[in-house]
Amino acid sequence: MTEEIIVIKDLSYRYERSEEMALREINLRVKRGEFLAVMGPTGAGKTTLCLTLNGIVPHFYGGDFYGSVEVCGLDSVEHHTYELAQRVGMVFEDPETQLTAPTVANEVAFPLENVCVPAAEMHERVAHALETVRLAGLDEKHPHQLSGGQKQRLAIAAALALRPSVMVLDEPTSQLDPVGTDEVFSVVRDLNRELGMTIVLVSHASEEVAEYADRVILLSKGEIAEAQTPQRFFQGVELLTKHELRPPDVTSAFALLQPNGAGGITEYPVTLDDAVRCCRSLKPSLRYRDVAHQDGERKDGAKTVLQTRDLHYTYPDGTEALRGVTLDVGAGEYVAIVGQNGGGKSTLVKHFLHLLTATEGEVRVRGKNVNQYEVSDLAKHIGFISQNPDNQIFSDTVEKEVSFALKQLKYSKEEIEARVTDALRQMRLEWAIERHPLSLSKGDRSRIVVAAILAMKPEILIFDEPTTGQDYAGSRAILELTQELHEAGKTIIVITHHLYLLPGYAERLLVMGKGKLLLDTDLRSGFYATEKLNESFLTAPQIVQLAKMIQEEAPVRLRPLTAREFTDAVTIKQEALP
Amino acid sequence: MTTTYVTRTDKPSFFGRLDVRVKLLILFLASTLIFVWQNVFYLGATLGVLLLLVVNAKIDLGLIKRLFTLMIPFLGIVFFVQGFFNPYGVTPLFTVPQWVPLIGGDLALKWEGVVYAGLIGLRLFIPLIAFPLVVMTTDVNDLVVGLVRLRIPFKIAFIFSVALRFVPLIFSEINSIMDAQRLRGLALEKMSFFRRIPVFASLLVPLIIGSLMKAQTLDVALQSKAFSGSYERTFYNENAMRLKPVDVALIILGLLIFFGSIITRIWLGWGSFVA
Repeated sequence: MTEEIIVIKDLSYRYERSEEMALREINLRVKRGEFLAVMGPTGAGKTTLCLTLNGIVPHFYGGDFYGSVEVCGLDSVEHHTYELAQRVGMVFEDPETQLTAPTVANEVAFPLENVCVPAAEMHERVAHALETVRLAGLDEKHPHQLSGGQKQRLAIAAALALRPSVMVLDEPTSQLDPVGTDEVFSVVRDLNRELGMTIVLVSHASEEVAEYADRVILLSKGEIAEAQTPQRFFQGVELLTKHELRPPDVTSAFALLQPNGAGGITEYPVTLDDAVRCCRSLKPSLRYRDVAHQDGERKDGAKTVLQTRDLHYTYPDGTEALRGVTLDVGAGEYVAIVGQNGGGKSTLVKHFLHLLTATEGEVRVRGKNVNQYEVSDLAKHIGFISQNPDNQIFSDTVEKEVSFALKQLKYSKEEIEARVTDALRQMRLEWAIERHPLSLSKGDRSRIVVAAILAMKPEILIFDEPTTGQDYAGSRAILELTQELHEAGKTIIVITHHLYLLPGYAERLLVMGKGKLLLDTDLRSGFYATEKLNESFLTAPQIVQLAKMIQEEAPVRLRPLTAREFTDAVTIKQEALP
Repeated sequence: MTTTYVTRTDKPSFFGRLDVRVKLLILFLASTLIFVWQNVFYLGATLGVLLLLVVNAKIDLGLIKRLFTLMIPFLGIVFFVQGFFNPYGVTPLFTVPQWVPLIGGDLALKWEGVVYAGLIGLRLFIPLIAFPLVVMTTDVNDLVVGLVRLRIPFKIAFIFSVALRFVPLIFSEINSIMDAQRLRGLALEKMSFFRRIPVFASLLVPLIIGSLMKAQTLDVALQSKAFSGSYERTFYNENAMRLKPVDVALIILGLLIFFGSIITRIWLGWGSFVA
């Protein structure tokens, strides 16, 4: 069947009390069984577009709605969400706020109860949906006991139980570690390929989009700026850069390697397999160079500022979160802590802040046992920026927010003023001093939190998952900031599972898994220790995987971390170029 | 952790297996009998029965202890005010010595007032124990189904269940906001009770905004699952609906106690104030 299951005509939409149009003149047709990916920077209208598909926009949000949206032949204005929801399943970004039931089975049954499916049939459909997302046997578990990847698969199962024709997923993996991401993508792929379900997926994950989607649309400021197959879409490296999107690593590498389609290949590869194939076919003209990559030096002999010895921590409910971690961090280091969700990363750093007290073992900060500090004293030495800026903002002006700590620490009025001005200048937020923090964008709110921490002039800064839920531009901005602070002499610790963002910033890599420190090494060696990464359910960036796959054909040792470094080590012979 | 108040205990017990309607009846009795009776012995016995149930349900006794500790400052005030000023007060236990200016020789702590303070304490403590006893031993689904079968609109029952689910989330949010404040040099542990009040007040803004945003996301997620709040629906846990003989017996007993207590109080004066 090639019938069109979604038909959007001249759709424009403006939220109530908003001046800007969220969507402008959207025209889009999606075929039954198609896998459509939607990409675009934050604020481009991706979520709004999703919500038009089951009528939440405009039924729930109100506002001005022009044009028409038709799903499975139903007009979204004439038909209520209750009806549309039975044809369009939705999965959202945050697993916490979309799961409401006390057991896994009840979660899946909830939509069925809403549409009055008889109990006997309900049991059958719940079992089937759970089997499809590979959660069979977990029926009686509490959704909170599941991992991130499992929670999102549960959300998919709940949507699936209604047997919809279209499944819409709005950034379902942005809060997941690489393994959770893989789990979700493989389920979505099966829905599409085996059950023929139509998929609309919003995602920043270029590599996965390139692998699975049939078509990609690029939304920018509420408009469709591009609609292409992924193969064509990711060729437009310039267009992507303009819209702050990141092409897959291998595409960037080949764009650098053979600008203008040199070497007889007319299109850059967009998936890892394609890239390996490309390398094989280019083999005769490929040249390899043994490059000594410039890495930031690990400052040996620097004063140790953070230290743990055989650290164990068990949560009151009996979960062993840390099982013997021994670690030293020297002044001025830039350390990345990576590992699966629940691997103990946040638990570890909370010990340095004395927010948690070791069950066993010892934690020292600047040579002194952490138990001798009050949390509020430690704050002068260690700044902690947690993932959600809104849990760290509690004042009604930016000025009060940034001076909050200084007042607590009883600095003089002049000192406070000077430090506030200084911190705001560093974050380029002077203009916002009188504003209410919550009236600013999410990116700026994060910067306010950083400014408020910087005002205390701590020598150590810990960032907990700073790039989660940020688009590529946002993530880069945060990492640039950590870099600046590092250059200013601060010790930086970043917790993340976005490995591809780290090259160029972090110098040292700590891999944590199941409460243990699996690996402690420099970033490059760490990225090439793929077995250790896999043990913690991480995958190395695409370039590392590519280098490893073509290593046997190269006469020299390949160790690139980025597309740029890849082209330093691998070039195309001049004669091969036209 | 702060979330214990609503965390389910999974240990099987006689009380845990009772039908949700029996438990709701117990909750109802616990919050009405305290007003029917004015007698410390009657209410003391009620508390005794509840504590037996708590032990039977294998609920962490530490929780009961914490609830009691939380109430101590309040009980102190009640004891002072009632003990000295309650109009029932006749028998002095202790009189303020003459040499104390203004009140000396006049003001006395009286036995009846002390008993009355105990009564108020019991009136607070009984429902305070009954609530976690029921909530912690009942599956939220059963609670919702039970409420609906008692002719309470599903929408209200559902709000109740979501609230129960969200309480731990909100507590964890409060914790993380407070951690953020401590990490900005706020030394809560060195502050007096009164200086802490504005700090707690400042928690409210991020908390309310966060909750409103969560509520909206939740609403969107629910509607996307064809939720319309309509009464017409089916239930996955249908079996939870059948009453066992022991449940029926307890419901009859409960209703007897309820009506019996009112009748005997009005006509026979059982359960009136004694000291």
